[in-house]
Amino acid sequence: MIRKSGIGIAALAIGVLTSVIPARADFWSDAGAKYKGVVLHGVTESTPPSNYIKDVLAPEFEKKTGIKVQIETTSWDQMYDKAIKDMEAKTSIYDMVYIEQDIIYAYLGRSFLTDISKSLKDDPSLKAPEFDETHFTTFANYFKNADGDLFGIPMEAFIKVYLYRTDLFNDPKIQEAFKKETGKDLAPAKTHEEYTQIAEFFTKYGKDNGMELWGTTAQAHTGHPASWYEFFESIAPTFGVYNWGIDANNNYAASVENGGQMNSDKAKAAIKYWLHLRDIAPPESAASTWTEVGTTFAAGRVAQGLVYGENAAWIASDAEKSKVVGNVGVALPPTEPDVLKEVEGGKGYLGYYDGGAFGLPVTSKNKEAALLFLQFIGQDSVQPDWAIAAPRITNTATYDDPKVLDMDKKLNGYYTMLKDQGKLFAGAPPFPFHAQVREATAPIFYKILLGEVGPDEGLDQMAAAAEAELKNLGYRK
Amino acid sequence: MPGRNPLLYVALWLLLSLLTLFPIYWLFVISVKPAVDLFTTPSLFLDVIYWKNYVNVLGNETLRGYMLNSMIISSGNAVLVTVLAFMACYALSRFDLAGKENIFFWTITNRMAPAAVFLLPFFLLFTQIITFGDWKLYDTKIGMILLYCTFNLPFAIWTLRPTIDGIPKELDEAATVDGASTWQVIHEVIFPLARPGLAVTLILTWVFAWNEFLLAATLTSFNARTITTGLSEYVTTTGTEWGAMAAIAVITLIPALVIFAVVQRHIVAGLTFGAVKE
Repeated sequence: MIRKSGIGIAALAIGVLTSVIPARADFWSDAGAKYKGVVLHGVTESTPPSNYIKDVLAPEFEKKTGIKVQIETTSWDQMYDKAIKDMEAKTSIYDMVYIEQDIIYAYLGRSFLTDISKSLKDDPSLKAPEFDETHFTTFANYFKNADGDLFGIPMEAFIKVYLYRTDLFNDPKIQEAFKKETGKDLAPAKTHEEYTQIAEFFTKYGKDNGMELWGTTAQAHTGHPASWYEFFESIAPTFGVYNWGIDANNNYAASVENGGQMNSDKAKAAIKYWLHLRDIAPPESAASTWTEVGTTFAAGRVAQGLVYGENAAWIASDAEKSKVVGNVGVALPPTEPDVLKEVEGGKGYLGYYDGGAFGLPVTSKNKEAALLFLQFIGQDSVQPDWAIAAPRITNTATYDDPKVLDMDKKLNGYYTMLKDQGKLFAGAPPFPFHAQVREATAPIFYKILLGEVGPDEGLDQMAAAAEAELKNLGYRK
Repeated sequence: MPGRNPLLYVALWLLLSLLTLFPIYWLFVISVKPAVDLFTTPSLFLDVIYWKNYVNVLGNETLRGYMLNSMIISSGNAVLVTVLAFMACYALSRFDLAGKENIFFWTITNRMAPAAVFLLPFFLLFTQIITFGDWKLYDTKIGMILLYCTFNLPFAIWTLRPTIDGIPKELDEAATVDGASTWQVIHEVIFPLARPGLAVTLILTWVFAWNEFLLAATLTSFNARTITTGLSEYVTTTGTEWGAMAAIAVITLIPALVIFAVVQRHIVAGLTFGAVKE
């Protein structure tokens, strides 16, 4: 009885207090009130980070602001087709578009995107207190212009890492066999020579033991740009050939004779190394793109490989899709002996830092409401759960969240690597002619893969084709 | 000669069935395998049946919405196309129009260029030309129903014309003598006799609209997305969800199979009607 009346008094006191203290203003509901009923439309690629926006962040935002958000998720090519058509034709269908890191320069060149930093400065009433551009990792720099203004809110970021099978690498019998064959201890490779040795060993081991096991992945599709990217983004840099071998400061030279690196000795060594790996990789490698190398690894068909980080989480933790759960080790890609020092010294990079952002097309009819949503997904508070649902980190504070630290253990230190060594990786070069040069050189590259042209001769032809295209486009004088 | 040996008939029938049904069987096998087994243990036979792909797909509200959109768009288009084609064929068959054979030929020209050629013009038409205030044909079911007429109507006219031509004109004349109006002739004489041909036209048009991907992918976004375009969501950078895609494909086969079963008896008659003129 006494207890009951005590609770009643406490409740009364709380009621009186809350009626006296003015309601604490909630930025989202206040800022959203003006745009209540607005429906924002966004288009993005169907990826785990995008699906998280669609399924979790958009409904949360709607609940807080009354602004409805519809996110269309589709395939990579459809996503580009739809976004570019909308922005070109000024049809104002979309208020948010996914911007992949490598296309931002083309979008900025065509003035497709709204300057987010400037817009928020111009209208401080739209600026969310929890949103701070300085909280983003350095990956956000890829979405800034020369003045440091942000044109996209980073929402996806990962590095292409070297994954290896810990169950195989730690197996005493295999270790002994490797030692017997090579005279070395079996450990993740640091150099190309070591990587090749391990790859050759496991391919032979698989064959000798009647296993469906090969030594390495190879993203070596003979007619898809994924193989071109594997070479220029992942292999060539580890030999010291950066920015596709094109020197923007030297009249966009690609060929050695004009000061470029595309057909340099280093590039030629890189392609021969990679072609050899391709030849001892699983048979599906000749048809593998960025997704299939992940599938190959997850199926337990290889001992090691270069795999995009966005796949690392499901390969390491999703038993419905992966046969190597709990057996995935993460390391830096192997390099030529002097390259890692060079990269650590600030020159070049040793792999690909990929990802994307959400941008606001200048053609949007709901820019203010869209700016609110973009800030909502850029806040620190929404990041940790997002990083658990999809292997991406875009805000520095995310690394220290206990849930993320726990996830990092499951991923054998992938997030730690992203945090500590992410700086050694780089996105695509800041070329607005990205697609054109790729398309001009890719057919020759496929001929190299098909054996129709030798690697040395092929790279010579590619350097010449790149320079011709750059001249056509007006970059090379 | 198979006619002399019934066993040979059976063997041929089995072979044909195997050839035609194998892709569907293989699709089903993929749809009931866990993702992890698709590449590691590819097998023609089922070891375990994994229904989760179906559970996931059927439990997905968005996909159910796409399915409903597909149903509305293909049914709306099939009915509209069949009615219009029926009228056009009647006119081409019964009236002495100047240059009617040229008109007939001209109708098919829409199908002579790949659909991709029409993408951008239709995109601009749907987003910028045919607009009423904020209302646009883009991403509407009515827009898609009308759009598919562009490609399905010529086909329907060409499919249906032999059927209408095959109905003796004397029947129209007799009905007219008995006092029937043109509409009565169409409704009470031509329509019942043309039913097999109309059924074939309806079903094939429906299937074409149901399966179309390219135009739907570009001209729909949120409100009129069809199930075929929904499939593209399963092609992701973290892998293609083959199991889910196969489950959707199997599910999308069902309405088509049901419709085929319902109108099956008309199909053979419709395909051969008017093939031989007396």
